[in-house]
Amino acid sequence: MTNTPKGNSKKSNNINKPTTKIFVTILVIAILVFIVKSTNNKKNVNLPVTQYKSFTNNIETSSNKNDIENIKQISSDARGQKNIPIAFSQLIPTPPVNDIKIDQYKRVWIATENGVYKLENDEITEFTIKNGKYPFPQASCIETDGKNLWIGSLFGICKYNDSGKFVDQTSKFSLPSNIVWDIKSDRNNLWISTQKGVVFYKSIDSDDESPDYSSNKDNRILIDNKTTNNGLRSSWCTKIARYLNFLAVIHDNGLSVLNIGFPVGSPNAWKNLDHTKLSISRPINDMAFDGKNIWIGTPTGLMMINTELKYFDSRFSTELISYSELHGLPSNNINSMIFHKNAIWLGTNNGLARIRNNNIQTISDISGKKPESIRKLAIQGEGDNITLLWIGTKSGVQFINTQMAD
Amino acid sequence: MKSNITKSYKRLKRYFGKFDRFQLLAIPVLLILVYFSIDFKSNDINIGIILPLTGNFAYRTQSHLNGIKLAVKNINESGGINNSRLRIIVKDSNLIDPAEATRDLIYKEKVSMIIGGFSSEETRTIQYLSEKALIPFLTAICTHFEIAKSASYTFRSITDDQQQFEALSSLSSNRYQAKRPAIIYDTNLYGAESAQRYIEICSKHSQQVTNALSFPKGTINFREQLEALFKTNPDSLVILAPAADSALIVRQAREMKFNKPILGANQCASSEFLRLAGIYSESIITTLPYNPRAGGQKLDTFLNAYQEKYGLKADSDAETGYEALMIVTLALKTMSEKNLSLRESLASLKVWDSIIGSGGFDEDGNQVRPAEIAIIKERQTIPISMEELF
Repeated sequence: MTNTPKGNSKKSNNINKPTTKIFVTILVIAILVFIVKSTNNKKNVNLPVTQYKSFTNNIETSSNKNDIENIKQISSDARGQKNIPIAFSQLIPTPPVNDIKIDQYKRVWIATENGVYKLENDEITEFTIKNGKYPFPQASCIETDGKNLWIGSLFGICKYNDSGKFVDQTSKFSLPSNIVWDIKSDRNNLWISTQKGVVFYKSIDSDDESPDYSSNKDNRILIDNKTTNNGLRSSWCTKIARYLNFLAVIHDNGLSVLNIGFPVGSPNAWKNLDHTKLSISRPINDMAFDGKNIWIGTPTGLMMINTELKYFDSRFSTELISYSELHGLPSNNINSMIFHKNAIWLGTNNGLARIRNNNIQTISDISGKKPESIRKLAIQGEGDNITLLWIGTKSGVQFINTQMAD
Repeated sequence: MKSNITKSYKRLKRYFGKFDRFQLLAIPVLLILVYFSIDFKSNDINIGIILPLTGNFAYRTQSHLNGIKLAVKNINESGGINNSRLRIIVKDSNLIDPAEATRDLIYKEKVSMIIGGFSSEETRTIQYLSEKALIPFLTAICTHFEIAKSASYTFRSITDDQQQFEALSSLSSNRYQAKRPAIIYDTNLYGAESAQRYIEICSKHSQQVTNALSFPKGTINFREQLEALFKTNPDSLVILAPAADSALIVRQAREMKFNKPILGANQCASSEFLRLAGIYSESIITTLPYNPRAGGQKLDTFLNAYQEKYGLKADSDAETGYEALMIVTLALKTMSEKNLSLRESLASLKVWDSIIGSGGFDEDGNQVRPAEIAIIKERQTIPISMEELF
């Protein structure tokens, strides 16, 4: 009989045991599954930052100088033509885009169906309920008042704070509904449109580092169907805008425009475009102001209110001038609109277009890629040498240099 | 007792004594890894339902929901869809704001799609939120002509008002030579938009509407509106109103000796209307979203199963509810077979055969099935095409 160390004998016996083999096999499988799952999760979280070039410093979206010249030549030839092919940036994938806003630090903020994304210095940062940096499952709209960044969601309103997180502010605002569709800042005032009316908040101290939009009644005005005595035709307000001395509200029954020099409760102070009376298709998706007239985008085309806004009080009429696929629009379904460089830029279900001097031009990707349905347009650098038009779709964001279309 | 515990302890000690410390350490590690590796999410397919299940229209919506529930039961009992069970999450839009109900179903319950909507406003609300979130929405009870038009994620499996109005106007013009109809409509369910649409359709059939008057919700005396309408000397009366209001209007019009044709939208085909209008319902012309005899044997099987489960006779709302869920089932099956999204799969359903006959979606996602016209005889709605048989 040979003596062997006890421990070694036990170890070698155990390794050869079938139970050990089963344990080891299961362990290895579990580790593999765990690694695969972790990798998959990681893929969902991290966006391909490499695709995102330094847009703020880069005039052109193509790296090849010859390409740029060719593109410029084509664009130049295409001036006055119906289609202008230009270079679109690569797509930066995000969940479906609801809003895009560029703040004073040139950071691009994107409100999506899954939270908020920030593009800054070639980096993408994700703010979601999952990573704890954003309090809601969805983001509808973004606004900056110069000092704070506000996000409206179907679950309330929140503010970006110094610690790099969004903090829920819903309880501080006494909103008529937590379903927030739009936020607009007007000097130191905040306008919030919700499912049950628009609320106007006056800042208590305009010189304060962080304006306080107190919800006490002296600083808050609720604007809904009841408080306006049916001046505002519906309380379900999806978009708001401030043009000249007017407040324009898109709602379930059409468009209402108020001269804010008059009390909101005076029905005569409101001018209305009603879906029923004017056979405008529901919903009005967006609006834009070209300095003279208001334009509205619907699922069945684009319309311009013929009365100049400054004459709304004296000679308002509901006469509309319509544009559709028959006039050259890429689609009748207009989802987003923005006024830039004497043109109304249109995000449609079938790509980008603009209307300038009564001419409609479609803007297509020179690569020949099929246009996607556009959900949101935003301008970065208005008045600067480089102006980018950001395009939000259901798959992400991309941009064009608008000079290339000229 | 104590000796039993000691014995068990010794047995466990003996068993785990066979393993070394590495093997024992592997057990918790293994459990932790397995916990984080397994997807504990339910394999159910969640479908959200939004209907006003309480209040004035409960008699219709409860019936619609019963139809949906019966379809879910049948699908799950036959093995579900690709080993997944259907699960419905129901929200009463009379108790919770329809916008909040839609929001919660999409973002909290993570439903794959939504079925429901009743009034045009409620249905528009669900449509708006669903379109934004890219979640398919199917209505099988709201007939308002605007729904599903120019929308990508919205579908409707019931024949819409546009087609029903076309059929009604055409028949009244051809059969009764009615060229001067008057319209009375409610401001809630149909609204001015529907009346306006009916007027537009009338002009296509050489009809000139003499007057169109509305009444607010809760009205019980319609004589003021009817007197004003009858002063314009119409040759027919068109009622666009909920069933209970329509019954009162018909009754009061007949009491006022209006003996010309009275026509009504599909609300006049409901059992509620027939019950409330009683003998005054005789000879009323109404639209039907489908021919109730087109389903054949499939419909008979459904009616028996419905009777057995609920102890009630199924009405058209129950049938359209059942059909809606079956369309969703078909889309879910097609989706996995052809590797499509649920929206694409629904949009690809151009033809189907259900308990209420054949149907299909057009390019807008709207039902292509033509509307039927019926005449009420002895409190029964008889399709005009089968009138001679009765």
